[in-house]
Amino acid sequence: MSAQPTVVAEGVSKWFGQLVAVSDVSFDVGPGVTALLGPNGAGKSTMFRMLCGLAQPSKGTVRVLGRDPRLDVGVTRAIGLVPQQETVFERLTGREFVALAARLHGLGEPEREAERALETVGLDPADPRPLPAYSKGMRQRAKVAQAIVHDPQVLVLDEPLTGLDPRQRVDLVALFRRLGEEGRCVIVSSHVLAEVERLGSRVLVMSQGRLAAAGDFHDLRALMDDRPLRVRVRTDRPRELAGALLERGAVLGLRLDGDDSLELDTADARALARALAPVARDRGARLLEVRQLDADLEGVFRYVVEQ
Amino acid sequence: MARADMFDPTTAAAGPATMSDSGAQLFDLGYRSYDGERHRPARAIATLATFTARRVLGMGRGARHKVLPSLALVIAFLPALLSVAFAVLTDDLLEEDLISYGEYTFFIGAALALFAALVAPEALCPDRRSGLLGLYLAGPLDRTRYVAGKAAAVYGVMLLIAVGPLLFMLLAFVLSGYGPATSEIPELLLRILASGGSTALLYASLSLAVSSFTTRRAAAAVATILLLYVPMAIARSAIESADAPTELDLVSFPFVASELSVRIFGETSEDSGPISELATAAIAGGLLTASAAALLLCWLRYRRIEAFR
Repeated sequence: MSAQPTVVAEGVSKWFGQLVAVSDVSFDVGPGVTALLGPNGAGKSTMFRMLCGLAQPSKGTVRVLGRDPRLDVGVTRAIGLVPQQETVFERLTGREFVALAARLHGLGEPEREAERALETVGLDPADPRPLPAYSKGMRQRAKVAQAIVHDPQVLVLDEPLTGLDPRQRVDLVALFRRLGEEGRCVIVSSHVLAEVERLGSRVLVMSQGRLAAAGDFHDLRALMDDRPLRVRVRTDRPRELAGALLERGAVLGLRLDGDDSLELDTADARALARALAPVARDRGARLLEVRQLDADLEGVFRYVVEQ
Repeated sequence: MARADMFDPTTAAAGPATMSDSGAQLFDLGYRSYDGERHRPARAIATLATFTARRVLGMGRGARHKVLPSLALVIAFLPALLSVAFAVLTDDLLEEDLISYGEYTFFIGAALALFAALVAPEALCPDRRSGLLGLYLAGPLDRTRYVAGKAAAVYGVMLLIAVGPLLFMLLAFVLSGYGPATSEIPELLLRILASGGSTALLYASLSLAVSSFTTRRAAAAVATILLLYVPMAIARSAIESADAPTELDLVSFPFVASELSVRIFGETSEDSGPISELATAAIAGGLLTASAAALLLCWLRYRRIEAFR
């Protein structure tokens, strides 16, 4: 995926007794934001734990910055982890929790850096409440603060947007994007695909413990040639337009949707685009909207995990 | 990213600014890279040890977290306090009426056991139960450093109870004129450190080993107490009723610690049971072997643990 991969997994498998959680997964990830997607039980969190050195692959190797995160503490110092589980907190305040992380990472001014990190995620460093008294979204942001306090080169974010309100999501998505744009390797998993789409277009999709897809999701959509593209066309003459398109053989199928809308299935979006305007002109139809429906991340994700 | 009303210019330096010709500036309050000092990874061990020791002693926590540590400290220091008080307040007290330095470990056996059952479980179990272990290990601590930090904390806190009362007694006796001659103080100090150090080592390592097997503090505490007293009961029963070798009494851990302390101070114990028949080297070897084996077991457990919560 990148000329200089920061994270490399080669033939990684992980099993627990008879249960295979991850099966022969290989990928590499460079600077920028990459989304690791998959349904529940796909092996994402297990993969994350192996990336952070928390679990040993049963087979294969994981390298972060060229080194083994399980054995090399120099690498894990460069990693920031937002774990999925919420129970990581003792009865510390947000400031104590983040300052502890800063101290463990050997920062010169841990209190000051903790304040900065908390402010960055929109939390009040002076909040005297212990973390268990925080709302779910606040706890989530505290986890993000402890993950970024030491300015890591690699950020591993397991469902970091869970429990956040829309405004907080927008803020954190912007933060993650910025961290990626600054050259850090940000790997994020989320069930909120619309937010993931805003983070960037590079994805790794896992399904049933295996890597089902890797790359830019627009490119992945283009590769899905066994599945027709669906295009919505709004026009003042949908029936005339539908007949003409079928006549020309420009669509595989179509569906009238209301009085002014058509949904077209095509194997070749470019050919359809070339045909659409002349046909509309010939039939005196005005094109009010032309929009591809399933080229978003959710469409790609559904296709990949269901195939 | 940070809210404007939260931004405090005295604590958060402004990021790169956009400035107009008129001098108006928009500061970037978002994420800023850290380019300050970074300490060596070894510092993380000290940080973890300090944090753990404070938590175990209930420092910075609610009152209920201070009850058991305080109780153990009171039990540990009470004999020393009473001994000093009697010495100071009673004119005709004989030296043999006071608790000797060598006997002290035996006298505070209950406090040592209580502390051992309290400290290591509190230090180790919650991290695995809550998932905090994962954050530690995904950060600047590998498994060995993590165990080193935790062991340092537990050992340090055990030292507080194993050495503290003896140092208090020495200081109080010296200040009140009942103490050893000035020339004898350095040697006595070394004996105190050796005695307390070995006692703390045994209790800390055993409780660490036990605590590495469970995520539940209560289970670890009970198991620690059982480990201290059940093998002792079995070994002594076997020695007395089945003529088992006296060396078997080396699993009577509380007596191993107290007997070694007695020997370190050059005293003789009145009734320590079969262990008093063993050579000092055998007792010291037994203590060190048990401690090393327990620490090794704890380390091996953490080498294998996968932080999955």
